Amino acid sequence: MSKLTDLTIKELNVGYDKKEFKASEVTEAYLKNIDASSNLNAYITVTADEALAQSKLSDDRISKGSRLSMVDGVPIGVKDLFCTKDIRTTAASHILDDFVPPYESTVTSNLLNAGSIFLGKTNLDEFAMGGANLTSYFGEAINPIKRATDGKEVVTGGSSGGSAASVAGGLAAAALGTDTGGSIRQPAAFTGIVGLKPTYGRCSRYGIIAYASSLDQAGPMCKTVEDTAIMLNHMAGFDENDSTSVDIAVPDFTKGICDGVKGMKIGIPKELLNESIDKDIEQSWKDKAVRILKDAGAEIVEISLPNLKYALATYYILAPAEASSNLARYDGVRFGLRVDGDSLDDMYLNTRSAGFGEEVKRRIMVGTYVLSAGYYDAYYLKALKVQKLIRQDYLNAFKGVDLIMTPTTPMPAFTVEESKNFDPITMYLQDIFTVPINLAKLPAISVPIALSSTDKLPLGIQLIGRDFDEATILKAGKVIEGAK
Amino acid sequence: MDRKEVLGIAKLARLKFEDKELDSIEKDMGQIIDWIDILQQADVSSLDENGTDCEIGLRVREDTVKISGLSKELMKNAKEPYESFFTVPKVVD
Repeated sequence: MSKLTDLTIKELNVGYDKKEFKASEVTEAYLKNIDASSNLNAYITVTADEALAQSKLSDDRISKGSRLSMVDGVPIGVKDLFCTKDIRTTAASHILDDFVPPYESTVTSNLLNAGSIFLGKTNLDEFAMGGANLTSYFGEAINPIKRATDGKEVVTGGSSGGSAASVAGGLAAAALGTDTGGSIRQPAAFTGIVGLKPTYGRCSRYGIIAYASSLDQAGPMCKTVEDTAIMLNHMAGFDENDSTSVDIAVPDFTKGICDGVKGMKIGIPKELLNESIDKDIEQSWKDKAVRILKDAGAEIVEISLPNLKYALATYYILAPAEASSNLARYDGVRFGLRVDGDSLDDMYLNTRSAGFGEEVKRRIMVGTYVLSAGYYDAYYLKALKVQKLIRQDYLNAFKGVDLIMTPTTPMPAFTVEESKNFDPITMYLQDIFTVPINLAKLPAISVPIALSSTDKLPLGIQLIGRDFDEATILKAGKVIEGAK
Repeated sequence: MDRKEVLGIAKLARLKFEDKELDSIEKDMGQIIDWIDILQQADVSSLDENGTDCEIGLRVREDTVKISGLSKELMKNAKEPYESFFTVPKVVD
């Protein structure tokens, strides 16, 4: 039998059904790995005692044959952006480094009610702002996969870098991420795992520390496509505590997942064909992925998304604008860090300046600028309108195709030193394939497609679906996964 | 983007920067603002006045009082609570 920590959620289910091992044994094995791989800095907080207690409850249910769900007894990592009752929740920021929420987020609550075991809170970019997990107050998470050519450590991607490292490194059976502009899909691609951003409104945002509320969405990060479907089944659902939660039935995403793509039409956006992207990624997309899907009976169609060129600029107006407003709550009065001052204003200023990191401050500044008098119409309002055009482009394209396929990232993972030569805009350009999907509110999945030719680093392919049609991208993802 | 403008935005954002931080934030913001300026080329004339409406729609909850029972727990994260109050530096003489 393979190691307990190598098993997928599906395989854990088989083992539990046959009573081959206990949930507490699986949990202990993961906790041991977490301890042995602390150099990956995947977790900000490990909740070993709570995890073991939860696993004993799963053991009881398994022995009685009364498991609650397919995630009962499954040990997972939770991005430290989800509020967890009585467990420190930091958003990887100094300003929240001692914050203990008095309530549970809806998504984590759904999973707890289904019997999941929480191993701890995973590392991320501060307030989910970043694409390499380099902005965390607790230091960067490290990719378990090293670059083959020079043996150097590379970044996990971000912002859900700790979640990605935990799944790729055998430190969790699955993990929770959030995705505002690619924060699930890009780290999934960099670490060779599967990551899905559901349609906006599919999973409740209640209890997720807000970055850009109109774009934030929770999603699963898993070893396989089928595990991703299982996790999503237990995360999704209507929640009256989130005004943007959509009251729509949640199908069983595992159903029909092996149905294939025969007869499907898959769109390739012509505007991206001439983008400057890494050669290996280009090949994995235009040759390998296209061939796999064609062989499976799909038809590849060229589509046009004429406003795609505005997506990054639109995102880097809307997201900072919302962030500047959302982060106004961190003032030292009710929770989080407080740095004293001579006056109330002084206290605000001292607290916020000491509590926020460089990238967060930069985004608050840009957001404040685009919302300020004289610039609101030219930037913020204009960006909202362009967002609508971008979404219309996708809706038009979906009249002729069932899904759209692009790479997940323009380049493979890089080292921390290399990132030091990036200015903020170079870093923002990493999001070129993922950001438009958040603006269009659509679901998308990143699935490992290949390793880069010399460095042997994982590359991801992105499949984008219609509103609330996660089922179709899961099916296509399964085909890509199975063809390796 | 000049120094005066950066300081004005920082004041609105309740952030302060050291002198050397100001150099880099001024440079970065200048670059970012130039970069997002590409949006001025986008033709949005096809959208009507309601071009920004969210089609998925927003719900509002019933306007009813719910007792969370969390008042005590919520105070636990406050740095200097006084009974059931949050305290701040004196604002009136």
